[in-house]
Amino acid sequence: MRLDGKKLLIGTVLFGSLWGVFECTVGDYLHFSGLPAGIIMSGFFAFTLLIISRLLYKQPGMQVGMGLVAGVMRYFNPFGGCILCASIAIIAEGLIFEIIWYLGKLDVEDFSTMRMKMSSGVVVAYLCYVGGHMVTQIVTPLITTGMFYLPSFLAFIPNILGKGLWAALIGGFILPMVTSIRLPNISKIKEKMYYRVAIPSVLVCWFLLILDSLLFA
Amino acid sequence: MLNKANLMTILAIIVISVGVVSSAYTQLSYKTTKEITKDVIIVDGRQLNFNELYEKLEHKTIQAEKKGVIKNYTGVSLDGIIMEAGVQNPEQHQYKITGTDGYSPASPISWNNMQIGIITEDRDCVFPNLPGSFWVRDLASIEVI
Repeated sequence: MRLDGKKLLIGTVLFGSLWGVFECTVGDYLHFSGLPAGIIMSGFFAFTLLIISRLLYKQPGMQVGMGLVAGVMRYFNPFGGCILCASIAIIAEGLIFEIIWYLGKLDVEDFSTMRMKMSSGVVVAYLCYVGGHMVTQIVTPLITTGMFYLPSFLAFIPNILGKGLWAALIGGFILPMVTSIRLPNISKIKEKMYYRVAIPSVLVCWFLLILDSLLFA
Repeated sequence: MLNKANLMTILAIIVISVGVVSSAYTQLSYKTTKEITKDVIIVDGRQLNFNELYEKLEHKTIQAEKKGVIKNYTGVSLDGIIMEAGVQNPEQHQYKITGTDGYSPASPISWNNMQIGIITEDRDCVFPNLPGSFWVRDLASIEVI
């Protein structure tokens, strides 16, 4: 099923904006509270939005776009631990999700059994978190200093792989939960109604982001 | 031939096993490093008593941005620690700093940044001009590269 390009673009911006606004508000709150923001954001919020958007629109490439939108939002919000690292990780997560979905030829019909739902959730969430974390560990120093020291990266890999366990367990719970929700058929929603809901929602996300920046500046 | 469900189940088991083993390894390694470096930091293979160094070296306060908030941090210069360790021609080297949790920035720290950066009483390394990913909590060692 091919979806109208404009409808898909608005959907990508909407889901990307939701992801970005969660990262900039909830993610920062978790970070300030000393909680494992990366694991909770990747395993719960990002993964839920990636899965919902994929099942809803069924369009390859959409999740890469979502990652780009969320990454840009994260980059321009001046709070959090390491802004550049977080932005890179978000973009990488969207891309990795897309690659796994493409290589695994996954589709909604595949999630007919609980075993498949749980194991897919574990695998996809783990790879997204671990992959995103690794990509940012490589790309951030390259961008900021132009150098990358492989032994430091290799020594930290067990730490990343260990932390990914929590994202995997959250993913194993999220995917069965999301797939149990009865999602509407996007192509059957009237265009007028679709845009009336989607565009103001995007604007609200960006307004919240600007408000967050102004209030805490 | 494996079907998709069986393949995913096997992958999930592998992923969880890797996660559990890595987690256990990290915890064990963290505890060991923490124990070894309880009172010392290892600089270029030499063990230096951190408390003595902290008392001896001149304290300085710098401003750095953390979590979007500009804060003052007080500590001793990292370059002072390198000098105390007797590193020859320190300006010709780069430095790999590692925390007790095994974290080390994936790019070595230049001498210029070592001169700007400090280590606080809690052994946190702060670099005002570098992104947060270069900051290391609970310093365990400095390797001269």
